[in-house]
Amino acid sequence: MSAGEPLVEVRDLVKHFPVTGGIVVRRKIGAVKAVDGVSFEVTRGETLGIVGETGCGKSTTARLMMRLLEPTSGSVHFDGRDITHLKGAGLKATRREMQMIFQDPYSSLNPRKTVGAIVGEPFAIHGLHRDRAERRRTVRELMDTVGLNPEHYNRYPHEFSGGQRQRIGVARALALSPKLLIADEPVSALDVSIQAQVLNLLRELQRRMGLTLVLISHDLSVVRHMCDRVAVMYEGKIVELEANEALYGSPRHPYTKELLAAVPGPRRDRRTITG
Amino acid sequence: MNPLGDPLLRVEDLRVEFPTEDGLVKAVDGIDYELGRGRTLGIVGESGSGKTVAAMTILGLTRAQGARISGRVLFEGRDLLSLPEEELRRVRGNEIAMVFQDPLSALHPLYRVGSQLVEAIRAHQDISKTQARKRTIELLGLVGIPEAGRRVDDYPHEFSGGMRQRAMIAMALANEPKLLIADEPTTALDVTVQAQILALLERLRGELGMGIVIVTHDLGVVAEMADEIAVMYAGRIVETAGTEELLAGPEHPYTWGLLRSIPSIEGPRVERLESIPGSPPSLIEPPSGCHFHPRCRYAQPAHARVDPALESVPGPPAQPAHRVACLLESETRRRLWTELEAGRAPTQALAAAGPPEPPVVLAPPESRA
Repeated sequence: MSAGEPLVEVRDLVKHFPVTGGIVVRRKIGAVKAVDGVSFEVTRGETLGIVGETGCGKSTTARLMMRLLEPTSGSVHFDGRDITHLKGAGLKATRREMQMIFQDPYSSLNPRKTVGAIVGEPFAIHGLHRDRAERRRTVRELMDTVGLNPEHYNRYPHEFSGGQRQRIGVARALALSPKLLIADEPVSALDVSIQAQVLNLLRELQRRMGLTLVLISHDLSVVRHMCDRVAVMYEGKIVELEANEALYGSPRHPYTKELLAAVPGPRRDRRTITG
Repeated sequence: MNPLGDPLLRVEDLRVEFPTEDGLVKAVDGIDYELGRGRTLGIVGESGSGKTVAAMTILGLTRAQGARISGRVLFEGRDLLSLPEEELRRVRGNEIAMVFQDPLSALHPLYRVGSQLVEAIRAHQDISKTQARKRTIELLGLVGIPEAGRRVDDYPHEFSGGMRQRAMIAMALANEPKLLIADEPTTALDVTVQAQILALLERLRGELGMGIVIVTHDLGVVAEMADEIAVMYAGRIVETAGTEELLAGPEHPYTWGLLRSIPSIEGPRVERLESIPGSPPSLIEPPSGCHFHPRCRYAQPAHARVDPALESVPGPPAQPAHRVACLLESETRRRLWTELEAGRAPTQALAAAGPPEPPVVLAPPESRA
């Protein structure tokens, strides 16, 4: 596979979550169509942004790409392989190549493990770097790469700030040198000045490691800064998928325009949004 | 300052300290500001800046936490800090109202939304339940709750996040307050809902002639809403100015850091966001001298020893005044900002425009968070 070919291909992806009801007998009475027919590709090496508001399906789409969820219908191809219904050893092997970082730096780290153990866990799971000294060295290198002090190897998550914890999450995600990194709202919970640090870090690592990055966010400014192409989701569907400049410069879909117009800022001509 | 005399709100040397096991936390370390009738003040700051504690102290909401409070909070000339609790209760929800970040914590989950508003109204107005209910439905309609007549009897969990926020605003406005304090009123909301709520607040401010203090970390929101902005850091105001003046010509390195670390929705894309190195300081043992100096790329040796006061910048007096707490010369600061705005990195800006002595860079390199 050469650069420029799709690393991820998603076709007609659908995910329904059943809604059950009934008093004595629980029956399916309906379904939440979290993802309702989504198709796109992610080119090797690019940064793709997925934006949308609460409930639009962007996080569910990310989890489907990672096969943390199995689609109701449709397909997911990764690096040329159909991973839609992969299970067991096959799925585990694929997971080495795709990793995720999450929004909440407080709940995404096991509070009872040291940083060293957290960042080293992927090695343990996949049986790599079995020699303890070697693993410790590799973990310390990873910590250094993300800007953490390797001396803090034995500290616990609660001893770090939110921004540092997010770096721990990044170190953990990079441990296996994945091809694909999905970041689901990686900076929303952080102060503005720390957001900039983490975004700069992601950018730098992407360049250095040749990562493909999918960034999920509700923050249009962050996505504009980071992404080459942007998909706008609304109620489980992609309403617009464009190159960065085209989307922000001349958006076509009314919902995209509404989203952009709603971003607060100085002396901007805002349309009155009713509803 | 409004021509009718006293400003609506004047805060004088407000200090709020919390004794803890680890020491005395100086959450608010001497702040002063004024708000005129019908004006909006935006207070921006990150975690640990003291902005929320300051806002809550205005209404006496930190008293229960064992806070040591000093200074004065003059509302129409009366010092709220000296009022006993029963008198303060008559002001709260009546002449001064507050909207909080998380509507779930302000609305009681076990009572219908309507009855909570009715309670808020009848606490301060001598009217019947029927009248109050009628007023409640009016208010819910005013804040844009669809089918207000039906939804008045819903429970909070039956409202969406945006609707709960609107219900809280309705409750705050029920008694037509003269001052509204909004602490991160839209942070948890989607951007389109946020836009609607901000537009609503703006409209109601115009209609009621209300003063608003909006406390947030979101510079976009204050840029949109506020007439003046105060930037807080480590419990103090480090810069304050009219909104346009602050955004065009900020004079504090922390403000520069904030403005340049936010990616913009329009204008040229930058390669790398400027970040402020290090992290917010301890409020128990803040840094010596200028509290920002360890993270300041332009700090001089003296800045570790001298604590700058908030002073007006030189030049023709602006309305509102532009004040900064920084030891650098104003000329130097203006040159630095011009360089930064032109896209130069801090080190280049310093070389081009900086003070004669080389800076003592006390900030840890950015990579060591």
